[in-house]
Amino acid sequence: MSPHRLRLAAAAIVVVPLVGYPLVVAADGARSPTADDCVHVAPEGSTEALDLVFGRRDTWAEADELLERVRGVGYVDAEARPDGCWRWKVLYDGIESYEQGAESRAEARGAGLEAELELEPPG
Amino acid sequence: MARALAGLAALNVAYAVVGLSILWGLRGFRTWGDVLRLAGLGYLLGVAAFGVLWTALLTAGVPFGGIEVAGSLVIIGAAGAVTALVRRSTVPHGIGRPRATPILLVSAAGIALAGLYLEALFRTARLQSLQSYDAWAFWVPKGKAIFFFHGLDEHVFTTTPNAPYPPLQPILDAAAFHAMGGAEVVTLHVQFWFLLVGAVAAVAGLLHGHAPEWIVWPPVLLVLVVPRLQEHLFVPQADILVDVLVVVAALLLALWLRDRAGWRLAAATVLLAASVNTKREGIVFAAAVLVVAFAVSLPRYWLRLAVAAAAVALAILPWRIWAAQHDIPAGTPPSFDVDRIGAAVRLSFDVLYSTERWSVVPLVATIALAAAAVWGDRRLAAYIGLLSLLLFAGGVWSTVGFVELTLTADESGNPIVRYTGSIVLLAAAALPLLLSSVWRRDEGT
Repeated sequence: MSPHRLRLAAAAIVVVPLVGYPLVVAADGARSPTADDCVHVAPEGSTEALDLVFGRRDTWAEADELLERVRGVGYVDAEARPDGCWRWKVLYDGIESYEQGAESRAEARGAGLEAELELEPPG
Repeated sequence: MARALAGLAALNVAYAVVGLSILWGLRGFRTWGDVLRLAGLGYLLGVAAFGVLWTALLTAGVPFGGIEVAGSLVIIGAAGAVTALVRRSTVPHGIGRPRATPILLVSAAGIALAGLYLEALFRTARLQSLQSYDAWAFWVPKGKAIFFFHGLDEHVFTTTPNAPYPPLQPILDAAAFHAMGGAEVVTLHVQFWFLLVGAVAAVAGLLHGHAPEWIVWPPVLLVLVVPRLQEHLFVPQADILVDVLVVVAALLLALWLRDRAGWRLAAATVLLAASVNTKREGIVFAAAVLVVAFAVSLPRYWLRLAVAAAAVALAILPWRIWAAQHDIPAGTPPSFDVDRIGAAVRLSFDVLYSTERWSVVPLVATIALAAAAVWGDRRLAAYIGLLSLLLFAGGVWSTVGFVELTLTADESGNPIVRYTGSIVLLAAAALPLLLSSVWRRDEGT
């Protein structure tokens, strides 16, 4: 094999798999995660640990504003926490059962809040 | 997330550029191929220099902000470039084509396999959650404290577990948070992927030309997939970083013992200075590397080693002074229970030769060490053997000295498995040198 061909073969051995693998993986449907991957709405009747989430905001200041509104409605123990996907969520973590959570969600929605029952993240 | 990844990539490219600038100042580059070959070492040097500088600056009360981070990288890079200009270091020109022999295909296959594996690991790294106790209990909180409070917050740095640990890893975490645009602990794991890529490139780049390619790549690939490392590669703690810094420094000194090129000693000094600011055992590791380098060197080289040792010792001082001012204990083993020595040696031995954790790397390295001692480069074998023994003894000392540690390999009771990682990484990095010294002797006879 000529030196030129040898170098070409070596370059192909490196480049083809290193470029091909990510292309194949992407074509196979592997997607990039999005902020919505941190939202896990609780299925009806769930027996997992639950949070009543009042919304997510991109900045701490916006989340703090929502937190004030939520506390004003009566959820004085509500908190703002990072959600792990670049947003801040306002939540109440004192939910002990799905039924209790569903009632609280209905009350919160009645007060004009966009509340949702979500599965508590691990950890 | 794409913005965070782009920021993180930019930060790590900056580390590499800064480190390459240091290398340019230390040794110059003949070709761009040289630059590429030493890019991994350059990256680690950039990380090390940045970490050491900021450890000193933070203890002096300099605020840690985005502009300051960028400014410090520019200053370190400029210092390297100015040194290069003053020393008239050679400027790279031309690509420097690799020799077109069939072994080039082996080299290409090694790069492709390692590259593919690292690409696959990237997908794992970018979606890891913060699970390990040490990571969420103090390593990452310290990084967050530096990021949010722009310095060594007294409360966080004196009350979290393992307060004596120096702050280099949290500094890197905080810099990553700045680059990402927020303290996002999921994407933070990608920073550890960059460190891994840098480490692989550094070891392979340093070994190039010192061992045949077909001997270089198998140990590198093998150590990447040993069960213990695979499980802990991206845990946001300082264990892998301290091991990498020490092992690459030890490799540089192994090569320095052969060619006495001053740049190798200087680069090793920077890496060891970073290791002593990364973890407590980094001090033991760095001391072991330097002591063994003294032991196997002729007296006429001792002055250079003494200067290197003094520089490393100096690098420890800022954090030790800050820690002492804040009543943080030194963290050295408080006692020496002789009754535990036998059990500690057995435990360390069992952990080191555990194929469930480290596959066959320690076993193969032991055989290679023996072969090199008999048929190959005896000084290299003495250097690697003594260093391994000292690192092993350090692990035993830790188990003997901290009586609260249980005599078990369970990591919740004893960190001996983490500690042993340095010996295994050293074994993998040194294997090509040891084997090639035997091989080349055979070729010569």
